[in-house]
Amino acid sequence: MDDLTKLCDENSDRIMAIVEELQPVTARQVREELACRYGLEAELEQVVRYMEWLRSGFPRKLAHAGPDAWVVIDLG
Amino acid sequence: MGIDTFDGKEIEYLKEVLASGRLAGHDEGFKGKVESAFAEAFGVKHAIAGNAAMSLLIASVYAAGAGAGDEVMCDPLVQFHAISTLWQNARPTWADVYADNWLMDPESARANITPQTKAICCTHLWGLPCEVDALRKVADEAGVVLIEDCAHAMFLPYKDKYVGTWGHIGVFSLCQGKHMTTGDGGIALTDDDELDRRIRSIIAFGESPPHLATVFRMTEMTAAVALVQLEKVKGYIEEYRKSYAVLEEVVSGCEWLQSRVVKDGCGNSPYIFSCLFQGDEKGIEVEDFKQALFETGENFNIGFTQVPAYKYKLFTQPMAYQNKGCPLHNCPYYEGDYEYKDGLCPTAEEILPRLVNTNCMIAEDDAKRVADALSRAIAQAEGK
Repeated sequence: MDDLTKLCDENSDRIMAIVEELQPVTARQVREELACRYGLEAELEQVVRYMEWLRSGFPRKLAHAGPDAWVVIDLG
Repeated sequence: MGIDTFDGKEIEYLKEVLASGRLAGHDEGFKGKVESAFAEAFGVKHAIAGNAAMSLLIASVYAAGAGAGDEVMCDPLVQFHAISTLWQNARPTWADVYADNWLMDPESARANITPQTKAICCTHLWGLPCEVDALRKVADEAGVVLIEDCAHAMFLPYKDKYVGTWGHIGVFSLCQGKHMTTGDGGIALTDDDELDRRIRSIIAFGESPPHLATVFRMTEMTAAVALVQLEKVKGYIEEYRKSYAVLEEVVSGCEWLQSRVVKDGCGNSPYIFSCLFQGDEKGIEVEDFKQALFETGENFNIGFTQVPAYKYKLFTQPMAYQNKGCPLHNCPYYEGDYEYKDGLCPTAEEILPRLVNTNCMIAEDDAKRVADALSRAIAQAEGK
């Protein structure tokens, strides 16, 4: 999947990996890393919206760690 | 983000605080004023201003008398009470929720009370009220403290009173994204002089506390903003009720999305709009609906936390206190069963992965846009 208009495992895994590596990380940084590593260009709002969907996973999920600070947590 | 604005007396009051040079919360200042204003607005004897609802939940669990070897009954859909319980070195236990409104079932609470139970913590989840009169009866019969978590429930009516005044203690959140916000902050309400004293005794001290305490008090700047927002919040909630109705209309017209039941005597202070996915009964895959919701570009969510809080490793593993075992594992003071088995709260386990949520603290016009998006996603999932 070349953009973030659909949910897909590949992009979800990419975002989780970026956040895990750079955490705590801002959505803007994630957007830059997606472009740099995968050539995946997306609006910041779209990146944030995608990341919000990744907050409802279990056991691994994205979580807010303060205003515009994202981390990966493993609840299981 | 809600529709709240900060263009009233907030700046005037903040300048007054800064000019005074007294920034720490004090009884003669805005902290005292906001405590009096909350007490009057809710018709209770005491309101206690803190730096966060979490701090006040921790203090409330302490005030209830919970410590090592004790239990506090918690809501499995959220983790905040259980975290507060761990802070007092006590063990969370759990009561299941109703399948029709996702709120704590008083009979499950009754069934899970033990001689070690010191408190029941219920949540008025996402703006609908628990059967807090029945929960109070359960608590009183067992001689334990009922703590109402009102973080999603500002000025939420239940029968003839607001929630937060039915239990022994009610805790409200003023953090970002709540009905009224001061960035961070919280208010605890109680009619009980001793509970008021015990909460205050651990949330603030000057130099040498007589027992273990910390500083959870509200600053004057926070209280100044809170005092103004308190005058505005009922107006915000009125708008959110209209937004809720707009979203509810869409769900009530869908055969495979189950609305939350608002029972007789229950008001609504909308926070998150939630319904239950039942599409599998109609041959609709949850993943298809999830993708359809995502593609609308609006902020929906399916599955919330997926599992009840008692499945989090924070509660299943001995990690809370540096992996030393306390308070859940090998605690010499605790004599109960510390394992949280699958099926502990079957209804919570069943509904959580199927909850469809969206923010409804939005203006009515925005809710119409979100409702249109929801309608499109429903149609797409149905293959129309």
